Amino acid sequence: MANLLPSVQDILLLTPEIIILLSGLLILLITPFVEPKYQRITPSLAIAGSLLAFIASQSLGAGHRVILNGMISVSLYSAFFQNIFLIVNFLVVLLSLTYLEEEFANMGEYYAMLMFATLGMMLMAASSDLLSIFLALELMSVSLYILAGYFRRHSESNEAAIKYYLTGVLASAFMLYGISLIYGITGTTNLRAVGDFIGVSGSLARDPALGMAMLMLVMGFGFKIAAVPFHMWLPDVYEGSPTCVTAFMSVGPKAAGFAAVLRVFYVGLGSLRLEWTVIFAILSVLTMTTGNLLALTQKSVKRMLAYSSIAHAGYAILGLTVAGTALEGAGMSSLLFYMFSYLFMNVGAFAVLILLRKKALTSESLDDFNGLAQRAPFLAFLMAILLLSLTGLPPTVGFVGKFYVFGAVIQVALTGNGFYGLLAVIAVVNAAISAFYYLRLLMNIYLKDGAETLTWRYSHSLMFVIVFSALATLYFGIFPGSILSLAQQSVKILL
Amino acid sequence: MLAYIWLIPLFPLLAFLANGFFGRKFIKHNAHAVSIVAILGSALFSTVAFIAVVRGATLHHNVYTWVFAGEFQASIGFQVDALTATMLMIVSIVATCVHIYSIGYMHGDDSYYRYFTYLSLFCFSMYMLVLANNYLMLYVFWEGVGLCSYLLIGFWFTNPAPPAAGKKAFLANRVGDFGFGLGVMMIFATLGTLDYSTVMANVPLISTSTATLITLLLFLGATGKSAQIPLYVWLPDAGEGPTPCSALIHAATMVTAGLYMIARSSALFNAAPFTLTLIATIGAMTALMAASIALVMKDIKKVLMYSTISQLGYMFLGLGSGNYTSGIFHLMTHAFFKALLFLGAGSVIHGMSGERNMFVMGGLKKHMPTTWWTMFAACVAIAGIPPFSGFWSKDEILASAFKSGNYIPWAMGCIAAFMTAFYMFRLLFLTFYGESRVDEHHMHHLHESPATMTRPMIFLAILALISGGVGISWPLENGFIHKFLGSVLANQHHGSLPVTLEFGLMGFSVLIAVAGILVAYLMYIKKSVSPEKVAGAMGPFYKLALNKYYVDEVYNFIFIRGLVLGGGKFLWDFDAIVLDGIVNGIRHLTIFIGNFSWNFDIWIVDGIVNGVREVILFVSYLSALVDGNIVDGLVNAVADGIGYLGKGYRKVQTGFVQNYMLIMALGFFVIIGAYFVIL
Repeated sequence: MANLLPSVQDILLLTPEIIILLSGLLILLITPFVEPKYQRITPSLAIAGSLLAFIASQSLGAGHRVILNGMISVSLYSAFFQNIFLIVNFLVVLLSLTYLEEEFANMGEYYAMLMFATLGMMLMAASSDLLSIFLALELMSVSLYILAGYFRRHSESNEAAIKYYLTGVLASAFMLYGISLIYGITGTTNLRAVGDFIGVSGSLARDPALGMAMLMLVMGFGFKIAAVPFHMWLPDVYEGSPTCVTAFMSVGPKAAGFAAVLRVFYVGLGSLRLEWTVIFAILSVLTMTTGNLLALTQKSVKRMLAYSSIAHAGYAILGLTVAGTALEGAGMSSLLFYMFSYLFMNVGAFAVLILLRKKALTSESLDDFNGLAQRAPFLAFLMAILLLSLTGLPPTVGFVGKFYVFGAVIQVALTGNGFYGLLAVIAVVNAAISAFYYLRLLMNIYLKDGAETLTWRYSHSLMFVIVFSALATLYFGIFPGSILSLAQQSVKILL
Repeated sequence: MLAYIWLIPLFPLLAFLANGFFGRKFIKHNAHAVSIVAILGSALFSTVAFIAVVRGATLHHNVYTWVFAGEFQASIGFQVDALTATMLMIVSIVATCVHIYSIGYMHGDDSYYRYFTYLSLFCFSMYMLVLANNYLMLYVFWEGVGLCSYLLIGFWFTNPAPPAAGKKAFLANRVGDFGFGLGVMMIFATLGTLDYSTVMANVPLISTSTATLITLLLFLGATGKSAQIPLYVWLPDAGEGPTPCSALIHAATMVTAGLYMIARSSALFNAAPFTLTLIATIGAMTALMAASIALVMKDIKKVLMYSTISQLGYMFLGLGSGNYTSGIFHLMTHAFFKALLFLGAGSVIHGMSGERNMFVMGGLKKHMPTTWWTMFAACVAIAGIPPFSGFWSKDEILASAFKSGNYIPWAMGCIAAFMTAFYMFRLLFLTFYGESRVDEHHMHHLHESPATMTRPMIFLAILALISGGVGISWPLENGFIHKFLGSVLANQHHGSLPVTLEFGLMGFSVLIAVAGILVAYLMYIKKSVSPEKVAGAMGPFYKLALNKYYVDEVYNFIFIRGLVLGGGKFLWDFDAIVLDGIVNGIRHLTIFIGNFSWNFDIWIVDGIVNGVREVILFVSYLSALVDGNIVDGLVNAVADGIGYLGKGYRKVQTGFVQNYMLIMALGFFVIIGAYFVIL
């Protein structure tokens, strides 16, 4: 047994996490003592914390170090995801600022919970042990349950929280059962050790108990990344939660889920890759098809974005299926890039929904956006960029993300794997279907005439988020090279 | 050694950004200072680079990998060798002159800053075009210079003619660029790379038929950009733009991009003899045809535009004869004297308050002495009078055509040389000599142009007279430029002619040039030969030339009326509103972020938004069609046709959390069942 006390060097590697933890605790501590007129202190602390953590994360270097008895592995891989989470955290704090003030819900606890959820996600991306993954996931989930129910005077918000909690607990139970089965079979929860154990004893791969354990993990993580049929909670929760929380949930926990899934299945269950690639392939087809078809029938924009986020998860799972083939590097890096690309366009789109809304949690319908281009040409233009990116049209980052995921699938298909050829065709058809509902919203904005039914809730911070997202969408759509090579570097530690 | 090379395009880029973002509100009528400082910086570093290359330095350096897609990797990278250095010098010299000249010419224009914004953007694109080390970058900036060209042709967009000319240039270039793009793709498909040096090193691996196909496609691109038959039609109309930009873009630099591309790919073209013969033939035909039209034009700028097409034809004749150096040599001398002719014409038009018809000028010599003598210098240079620059380069092209066995193109080139001498001196005589035909009103305003305009002309006049010196040598074709460019261009050597024949050809060139001048003198100064009678005697030929061989009408009938009428409006709206709008819009986006406030200028955002709206209207129109027919059908199909799926799903989403958990569990058991059944 290694020394139980971590060294100072090990602790320093966790600087970003510690900064986030401390700022969350500090927010919680000072909240009761802050005068109402200084209430912006807490979000300022949250922003400062996430920026500091971001800077600290950049300075950690490119090495790969396993610390805390194999629980945590700090590497480019964890840093890539942590940067996504910190950017999301930063943008969501800015989104929430005026929104919460206008809804009279601006309390420090919100920002503290946001910080704790971010901490959970960061640890999830860095964990290399089933137990630490589970603990981090629970830290994230519990914070999110609270955030979903944050508008406690609105019944929709309460409903969302309780639904999320109950279904989440079920999924966690399955996952924990799977973990315990794996521990029973292999005698360890460390992913490398699990992978080595299964790899050494060749017959174990066909052990039914191990198969059972794998499927339970599929379900547990499938819930977090909202893969069909474990997605049922998502539309209700996304619609009922405060919109800023929805923006956060649609990006952060999903990316964290994918970070953990990639590690658990690729490193821990690598010997079963033939099995899980097929399962994930089927799940991805179900997920994107269901998400797109149901998004097509929605009248509420928020619900449409909720279903479309299911569809996006489906595309991302495609990257996972490629990770189980000979082109594993391409599959994993395309998945990482997709997560990055999804960040800006989705947060930006939700920010537009916050800027232009009815009161509290009433749903904005597609028709509310009629003629927006005449009333607010600049905002309509930014929304157009974000929608084009969500559709996956150049020169936006959404195009590049889809391009690399689909490209990886097609490369596998070109090696003579007809199954992947079929996957590619289904994916492209799905992308075409998604164009209909995104462009329909665009058509409402630009072509139809309509009266002002939404209230303008302009604030600098909101506009900054929208402009920032739109610019990032364009910038990384035109210059994807740096992020792509970073993603390729990052997955090397898993290979 | 050449590590600073990225500075050359950086200066104009910064000037473009500065003028683009802050021009309208802050810089205003000081926009020229920003652009001129930038171009001087670029010119300085170009000169340093040129000297370094003369001393033997070269550079091939990838800066950034732009696109990864499996096998395909596209880089942003620089290559500097003798050809690049030569082009850098040409661009720098002409661009500097044009920048300074523009201060006077564009003085008082409402969109002064916008003009310099476009000019800097053009210089940036042109530098990047010649510095690129691969075909993809070449293609990108090939389109970049094209964009600046459309923007500048349509610069005075409130009149109807400039936007129409811009549209024509856009359409003609689309055809050529389509071919160019296909050619680039074929190179990649054949060799798996777009890097110049790798492509050229692997040329022996390509079969002749593939090389022929690739080079034909590339040449199609060159006919568009460098205005050759059949795509030259856009260039004469391009004169609708401000005259200094015609000098820079449509005479000296952008239109030579096609030649540069062929010279850059010389090893590849050598592998395709058929293409080379075709290039020589097309070049000679263009030279002759355009020269014959220039004989009868009345508009001073039209004469120069057709003259440019004709001279570009010569350059292609040189390339097609396998003597790439001669093409680039003529490109250089032509850049100086033709830019000078355009600047001179601009000076005349400026003095005549916008009048372009030569038949209402005359006798301007005493009013505009500097303009007169600089244009005179340019005319002797282009006409091919030794020892001035045009003589050396043109004679070398004709000699190589003769040597490579292209006798008919050679003969056509000789006839065109006669015409060139004639129409240039016709222009000179009609404008500056004889009785003044200027009316009272214009006479009142007639003046010599300010020093900012005449000084660049004097500088170019000196170059037009002496720049041929870099190619003079004995034995022939062994001058500085031949040794310099010979190291990078894969010239074909057809042996040398007997010395007497060499001198015979040279003497013949001089003879026809002098004959051309003499005829012009007899017609327009001595008036012993009546132009009307000659025209009458030539009858149908005169009418054909006067009507530009009816090419516009034929194209209009076949393409415009047939194919483009519907799409044309869309393309034009795109060009005028989106491209313009994007430039303006980006500027305002930044001002907006800078102020971090809501009160940004609605006026410009309207521009960009309207532009985007045009595009989105189109997309949305399609989408509406799709929405009405396909999506509704699809939704109905989902809801009704596959009712089980659609309605089933809707029903499944009951809102009861116990149902959700049931479905999760059911899904889990279905997967587990399937897993163990299949296992």
